[in-house]
Amino acid sequence: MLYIIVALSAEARGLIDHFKLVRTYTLPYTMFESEQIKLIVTGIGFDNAMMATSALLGHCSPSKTDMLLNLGICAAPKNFEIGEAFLAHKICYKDGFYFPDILFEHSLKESDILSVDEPASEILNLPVDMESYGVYKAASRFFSTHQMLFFKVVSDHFEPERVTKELAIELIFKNLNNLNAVLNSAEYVIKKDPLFTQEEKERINSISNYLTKAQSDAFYDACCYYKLHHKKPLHLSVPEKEKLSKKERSDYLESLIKTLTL
Amino acid sequence: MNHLLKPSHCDFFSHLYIEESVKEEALTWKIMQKFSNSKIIFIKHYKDVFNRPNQDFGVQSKSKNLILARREAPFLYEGSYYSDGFEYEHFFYTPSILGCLYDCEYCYLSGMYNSANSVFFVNTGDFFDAVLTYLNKPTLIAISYDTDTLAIESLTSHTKEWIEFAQKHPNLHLEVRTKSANFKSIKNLTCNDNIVLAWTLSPQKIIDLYEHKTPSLEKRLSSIKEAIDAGWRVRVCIDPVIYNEDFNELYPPLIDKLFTTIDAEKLFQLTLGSFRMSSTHLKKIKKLRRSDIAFYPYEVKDNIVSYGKTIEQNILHVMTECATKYIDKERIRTWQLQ
Ligand code: SF4
Repeated sequence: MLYIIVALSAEARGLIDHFKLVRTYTLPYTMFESEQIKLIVTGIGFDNAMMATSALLGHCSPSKTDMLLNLGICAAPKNFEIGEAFLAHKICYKDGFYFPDILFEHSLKESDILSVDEPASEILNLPVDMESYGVYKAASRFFSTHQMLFFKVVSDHFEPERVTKELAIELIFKNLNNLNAVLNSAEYVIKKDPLFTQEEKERINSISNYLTKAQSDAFYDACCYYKLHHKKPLHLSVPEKEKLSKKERSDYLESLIKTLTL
Repeated sequence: MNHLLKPSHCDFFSHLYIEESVKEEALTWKIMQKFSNSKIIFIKHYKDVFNRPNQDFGVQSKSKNLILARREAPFLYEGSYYSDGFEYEHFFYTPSILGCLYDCEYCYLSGMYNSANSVFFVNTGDFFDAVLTYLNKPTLIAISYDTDTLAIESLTSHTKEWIEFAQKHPNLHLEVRTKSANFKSIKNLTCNDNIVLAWTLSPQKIIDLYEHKTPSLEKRLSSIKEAIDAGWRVRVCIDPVIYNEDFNELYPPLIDKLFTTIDAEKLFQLTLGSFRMSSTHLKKIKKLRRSDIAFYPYEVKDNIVSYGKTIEQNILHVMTECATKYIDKERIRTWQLQ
């Protein structure tokens, strides 16, 4: 699943068409979804970003192979062109810092970004937005450092009055190819094939039902050992009896572990 | 803009994190120049990056990054129970580099640190000052305890600096443990009997399976031979032995190969030991990476996991018997659970 966090509806517009998302009403936020994507519009600023991100992720409980994308426009100094996209590798806010890991190759610039509480009209030497820090703060409870992407598009050189809704839509739209490339690469790094097939998982569960908690942990470890060491499918037979005595359970576990780890 | 990049992991050291306090250091500049294509990220304190919660050690291992920092005291730690202190009254290790360039699946570092990145403390002089206070007695310092210093020698010149420091202090004994094939980086230094270069060897199949990014057995052996021929004290460590159904086909032939490559008479010591680890670290490793080593049904005693007495004794018996064809027993050291 890809979780997309944007502050403004204008930032969402291009993504809704591109990813064929439909409006949903699960949470009291503007949200769009497809089978693989959930997008939330948070509203502007640190608090809004943090609250909406927490609400979405708390509701959905992301997994180790999911990704979070915070996409948005930002102000930047003149060494960035208007419309240029970059990835943030350090997010600063007041005295705090976050460091998302960018562990995949990509062709964009990377930069620090400063999150502020008011639209920035004073010229600074690094890009500035209002949400990255809030999004990271909430999302880091749910994601590893390499599962979170901060994809920013420069909308102005510290002239917030020049930024219109139409401009935001256009700038994001023009960067959809860049975004696709980044998402592909990030997915390559994040994706992990499951160790067990569905059938194997079910078999492990039914056998575990015969065992105590500690025994089923030891049994699960032995199954992992077998799969990782032999790299072969796991064939396990479930006992014929419905229940096992304490002694039978221990003998059964011992024989399972022996077979799996020999 | 190239949208057609084939998805791939970043190269090693694609990002350099540099503490503000060391950005003007000569060594920092030297490293920055070597990695002129890396992204530079300035940080306040190395722990802000190295100790971040929720890092994925497994994924980071494929594209490790480097953090340059200034170490504050303590500069020395007492050697651990799991390693051999060779009966020195003073046995310390230096945390001057945290993390390792290599990626061995059985390494306790992945159970110990949140991050697969490496931290290099550029203020080597402060470590030397800390050691000076102990040099009234013979003192052993393991300089590659939580790392493999020779593996990144071309960047740091760290081993060279320690060896040169030891030349001036007769009570200072060093152990430089490595899996690298990088003897060439120190071969011009004068050899010193107080310094032991300790190479860890494994059969090539074990290297391929578990010791990712490390040099091949052939390369390690030729580095060992070069060091011995140049007059250095070399200890070969076949430790940890990773036990599986191929043990008899893998390990005795490794010993034969070692002694057909080097002159057994010139080998300082051979260390043999089977895999063991604190059960706390093992538990962490199980969560971090998919390795059959982590999921083997070990015996647990006093918070240490091991293959258990029977297998351990068999390992040491088979290997000692093979090794004594070449060297006397006195030069063989073994690590066994008490
Ligand atoms: S070489 Fe040593 S320190 Fe480095 S990863 Fe391997 S076991 Fe760990």
